[in-house]
Amino acid sequence: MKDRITSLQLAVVITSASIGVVYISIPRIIGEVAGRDGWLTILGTGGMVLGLTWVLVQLCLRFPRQTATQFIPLVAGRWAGGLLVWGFVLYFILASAYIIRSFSDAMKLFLLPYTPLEVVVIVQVLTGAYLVGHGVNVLARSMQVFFPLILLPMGIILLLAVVDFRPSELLPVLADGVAPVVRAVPQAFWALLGFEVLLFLVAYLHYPRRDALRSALVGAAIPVVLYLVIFVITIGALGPALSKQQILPVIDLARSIDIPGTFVERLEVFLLALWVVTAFSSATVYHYLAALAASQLLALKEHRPLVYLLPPLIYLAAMRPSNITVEMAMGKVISWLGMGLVIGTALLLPMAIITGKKGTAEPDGGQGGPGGSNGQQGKGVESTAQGAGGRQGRAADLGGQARQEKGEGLQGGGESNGLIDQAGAGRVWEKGGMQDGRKKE
Amino acid sequence: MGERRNSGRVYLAGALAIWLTILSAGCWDRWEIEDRGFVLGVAVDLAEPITSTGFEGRLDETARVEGPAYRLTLQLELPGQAGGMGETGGGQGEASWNISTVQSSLFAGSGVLATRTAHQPYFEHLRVIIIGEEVARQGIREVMDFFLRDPGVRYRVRLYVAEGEAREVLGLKAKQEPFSAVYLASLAENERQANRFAFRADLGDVGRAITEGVDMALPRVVVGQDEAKLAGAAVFKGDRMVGWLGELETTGLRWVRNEMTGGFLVVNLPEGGGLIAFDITESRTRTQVRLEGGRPVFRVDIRVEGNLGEMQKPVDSLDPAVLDKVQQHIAEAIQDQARTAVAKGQEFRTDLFGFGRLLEMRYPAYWREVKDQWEDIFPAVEVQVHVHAYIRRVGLVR
Repeated sequence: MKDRITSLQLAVVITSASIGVVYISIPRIIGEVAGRDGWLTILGTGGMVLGLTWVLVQLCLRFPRQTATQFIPLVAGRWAGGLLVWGFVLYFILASAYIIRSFSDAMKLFLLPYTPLEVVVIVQVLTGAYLVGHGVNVLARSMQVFFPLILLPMGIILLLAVVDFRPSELLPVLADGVAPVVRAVPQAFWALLGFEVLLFLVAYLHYPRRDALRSALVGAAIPVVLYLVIFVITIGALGPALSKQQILPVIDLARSIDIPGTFVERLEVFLLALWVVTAFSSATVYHYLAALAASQLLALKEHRPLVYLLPPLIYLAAMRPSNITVEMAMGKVISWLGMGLVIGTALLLPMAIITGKKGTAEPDGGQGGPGGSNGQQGKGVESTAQGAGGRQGRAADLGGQARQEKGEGLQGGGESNGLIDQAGAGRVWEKGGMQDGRKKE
Repeated sequence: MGERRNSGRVYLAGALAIWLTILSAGCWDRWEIEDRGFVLGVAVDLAEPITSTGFEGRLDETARVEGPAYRLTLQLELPGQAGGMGETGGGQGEASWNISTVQSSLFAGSGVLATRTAHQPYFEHLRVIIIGEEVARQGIREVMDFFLRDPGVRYRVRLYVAEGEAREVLGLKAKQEPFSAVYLASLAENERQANRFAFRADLGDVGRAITEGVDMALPRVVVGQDEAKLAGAAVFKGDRMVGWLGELETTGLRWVRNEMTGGFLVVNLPEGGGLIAFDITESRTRTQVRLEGGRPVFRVDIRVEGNLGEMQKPVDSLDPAVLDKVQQHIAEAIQDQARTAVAKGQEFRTDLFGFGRLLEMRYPAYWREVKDQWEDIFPAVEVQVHVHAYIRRVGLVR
């Protein structure tokens, strides 16, 4: 069946959303506040982030097969909840825009000096829209394919940089006390943001109760480890002063690699080329989530129309900053927004426990999609079911082209799918949806 | 209904095709390799300050901004003249062209040179930057910014300080290489055979030193008719050159900085023992600091291994007592070199040895107190040098 992701895919999507563009500048972001002790900040904040991940997963598990759009209003009330979810939508749009913009700027600097920024941005937004239009399944699988491309070049560069690495650069530890380390926590938190996507994705897992926590923790932990290694090696190879000074210190790390007796030089080009993938992945995940959350809020049948309505918004937001300082300020605002939203949502768990609010659907197995067969989502259930039915009807019309069976709609697989799912036991590729659609027609 | 959808699909496909044609056919950033003017070397000298900004009507002078000025010389590769290595050699004609201009800004300099070259200067293959002595004495931060800011310049570009004019160095006719810049850059690669010039300093290292404000030493390059020599070092206090280190003083600096990469050491044995040459194969220096009565005391331990390269007087080198004595003298000579270098650094009031950083690592609280007066404290600190030298092999002669 459609609209299910595997546990591995959840982890990969969380990691992709998180690392996006920041990993290239992490030594500067944290180093400018915490100096050479920044690794302590990353370690501490990483612990906090894993704790928050745990809280958010618990919240999701209380409301099986429901995304945050659906369960946040249940817990927080219609108005406050609605505001929170709209906040998420805004945050996702801005995050997508910011990632595309800051990445495009770097592209322009290194590779495409004469290509108009507009073109670089538009190409990315539209490519992203195309991918997102195919739904969570295709998105998750793309991330899975891209994932090795994210970690591999970074790993190779870090490995080669170990030659220049001097551990003594990390000494003395805590020379200025703990104050700078603590003051850098918000920066580290912003860099690690991205785990919040699980709020909208746990609902699509095959077996949430079994997999959600493990996948989410793994997905949130990979950036922590990656940042830690990047930070330590960059500080050890370039020193804290230069790491603070350079806008993209990891590019400088690659720039400084030189293996004696070989022609290995200019590795930053590889890093940049594959940075395309990470930035695109991250921006796409946020693009998808913005469309998903907004379509669920508006009780739309499917998210696709919004997918194609969002690009102008993302484009405008991306083109808004007039220069790099405005862009960095924008990043800061977005990070504060994201931080507020995540912490606000995390506070809903105790609220839900106190008020005893809970979803009702069977958590694991193939039953229904988000907004599926639980009674509390009456309206949503109707509309999703129709949405899935209607679209698959079209598929039947067109002679059932295979592409469409996969179901672009995120919300597809509502109540009506349950029938087939029982037979198919929640397997990924079920042709059932089509028959189902025909029946409806 | 199905047909209508199909026609919609056709329109979509058509739109996509047009869109892709527009996007993939044009490339704003096309810069063909034959249109790039490969810059292999750069020389920066100080020029007369600019007082008139108008058009000068002379080739190497053009409209510019008033203020202190640099003479920027670029060594451009001349395509077709270089002659592939396998070909019959590019004997005919020059392989490279040194073109220079006077500008206050190096960026402007490289831009202005584009009005005189067929191909726009392209820095990605830059091998060496040579700084003239006058520029170095004035401070190199202003000059280095252009190279550090440009994403095209590699960090592994070598930096030398020329005694006198840098462009003369770049202008030499190298025998072994078609390009003097390539020849100059390879000189520093002979560190295993020679230890008499400052250890490798590339653009990345210099950028870092300038950013951290630490003192550094860059290789000095001395130029002849068709050759150049790396000899000694230019001593920088921050980004400003304050003096030269001689060749042996530079060797001493290498000992202290744990940058001894090889090379030789000649010792005149006392009591008519004759000359011996020690071939250094391995060396390791550890520096420690301790506070004694509120003052830092540095202890430099040098452990060196090598072979006997030459022993002019016939002494039995297999006699343990002889070998012991020779080792002793080698150790003393090294100690001497290291001490001379430290004394010289203290004389220049430049902490070339990273002693301040060591103090920061070991005694951060103490460092916070003294860091602002380190310049005054450093010249008087006590530095103890201990050397252990081991002769591992003596060659083929007894």
